[in-house]
Amino acid sequence: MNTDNTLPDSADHRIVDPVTMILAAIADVAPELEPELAGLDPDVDFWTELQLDSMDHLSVMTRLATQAGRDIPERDYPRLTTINELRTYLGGGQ
Amino acid sequence: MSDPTDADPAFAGYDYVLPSLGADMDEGRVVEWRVAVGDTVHRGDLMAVVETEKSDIDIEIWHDGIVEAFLVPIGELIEVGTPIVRLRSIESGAASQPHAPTPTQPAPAATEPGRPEPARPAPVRSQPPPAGPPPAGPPARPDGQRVPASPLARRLADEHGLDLTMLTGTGPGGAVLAADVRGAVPVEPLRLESPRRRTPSTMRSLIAERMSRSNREIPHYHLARDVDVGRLGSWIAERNENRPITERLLPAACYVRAVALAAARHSEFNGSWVDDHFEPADSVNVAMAISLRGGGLVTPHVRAADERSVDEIMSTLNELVSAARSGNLRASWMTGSTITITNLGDTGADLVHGVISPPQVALVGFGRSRQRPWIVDDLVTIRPIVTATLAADHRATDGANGSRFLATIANHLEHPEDL
Repeated sequence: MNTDNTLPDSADHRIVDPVTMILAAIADVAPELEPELAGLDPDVDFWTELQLDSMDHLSVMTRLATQAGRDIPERDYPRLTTINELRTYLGGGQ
Repeated sequence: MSDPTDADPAFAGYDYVLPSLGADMDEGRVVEWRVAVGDTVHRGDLMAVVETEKSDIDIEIWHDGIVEAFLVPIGELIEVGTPIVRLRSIESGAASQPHAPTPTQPAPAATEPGRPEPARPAPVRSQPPPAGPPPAGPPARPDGQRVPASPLARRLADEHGLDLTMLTGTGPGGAVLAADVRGAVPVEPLRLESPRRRTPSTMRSLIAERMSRSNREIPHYHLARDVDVGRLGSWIAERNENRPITERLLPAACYVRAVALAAARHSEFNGSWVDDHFEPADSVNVAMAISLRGGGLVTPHVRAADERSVDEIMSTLNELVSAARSGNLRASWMTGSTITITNLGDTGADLVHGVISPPQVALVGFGRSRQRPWIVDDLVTIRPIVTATLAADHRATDGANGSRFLATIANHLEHPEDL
């Protein structure tokens, strides 16, 4: 079967654009929200906006930490509520 | 006629019954056949899609054989234990061969021997719903014999849709024991397949049916208790500080652990109300209500949660939530829950007066954590407070037991270092 195909693939072609990485992580955890992501205001608290719960939060953060190859300590969570905050935090900057 | 007495695949024939896909499921309907009459089928093949109150579930075949007949019409609401498909062995040849009507199948209505079609299952809608899951003991076999088996073994076999005559008993006089049944339950015989959700309206009507039944039959009583979760919060934060993100805890895992420990101690809240009496469960399988974004919810469980660490529970919860939301729940997670938790989370309401999932007798609810004025050592201070609630079955317990049960849960959460 092809169940393993996606993992090595995404690792080989690591997503470098932080915004894409963030949106992909959200879509991964909550596929049904994907249509809403394009219109997401980058300065709004998207956790609340998209009604993501603590389990979703942890899942998205775990994916981002893995993708970005760095830890995201729990104490940083409160200042990581918007796409722009996350983008800056993950090193995108621009 | 001779019974197939061992699990040899060369059995003479077999009626598959509708299995229970959760302690709270006692009826369902076949919505699609994945096989046709005359098909040669093999163990593991998909047989049918069964609609339960919360999702569609694929049912697999456990033996090689030839499909001889469908025993229920598509779409009809039938009780758990109703035979749905008749298989004959590949070796047994012609369809005209007399068929042993699997007398020990826990069918609600005994089938007349030799009759080509079983009696139609009782029309569930036209009579009062059953007071619990199907009767623990199957009706007497038409030939008057009964496979020796413990009541628990019968219940388990019933739940898993297993034929007791197919099992080898290790008890006195060859009696089938619970362990024999457990050993025979195929690993993941049933599973939910990739995203295939109920439409919200169907899910709604099924939840409506289920919860109406609960409110009609179970005399609920409700208790509440405020829990200071300040220490729990710091304990979790401290722990998570030194851990990689993949090993971090959420309060939900601690709730499951606290309820499991309390349920193990107050066993009168851990089990089922069946046939007018309470049957304590022999393990603590804590179901967690998980809401689905499309609407509705599912309640898979953490098995033997009282014997697992919070870290193990956390990792199981991660697995359950992601499986629930992607539509990949395994049937083994849905079967055999003994108590349920509903956790509103930090975006939820302050407290919940829950509705018990029959045949369970208790549901523990946790509201959001909120900053409240709180008195510690005669001083008013601000603490994070979670209101824990208990909805319990008054047939099984009283408010006094319930208060002690809630107090034990609160005590565990207030002393997280012992969790």
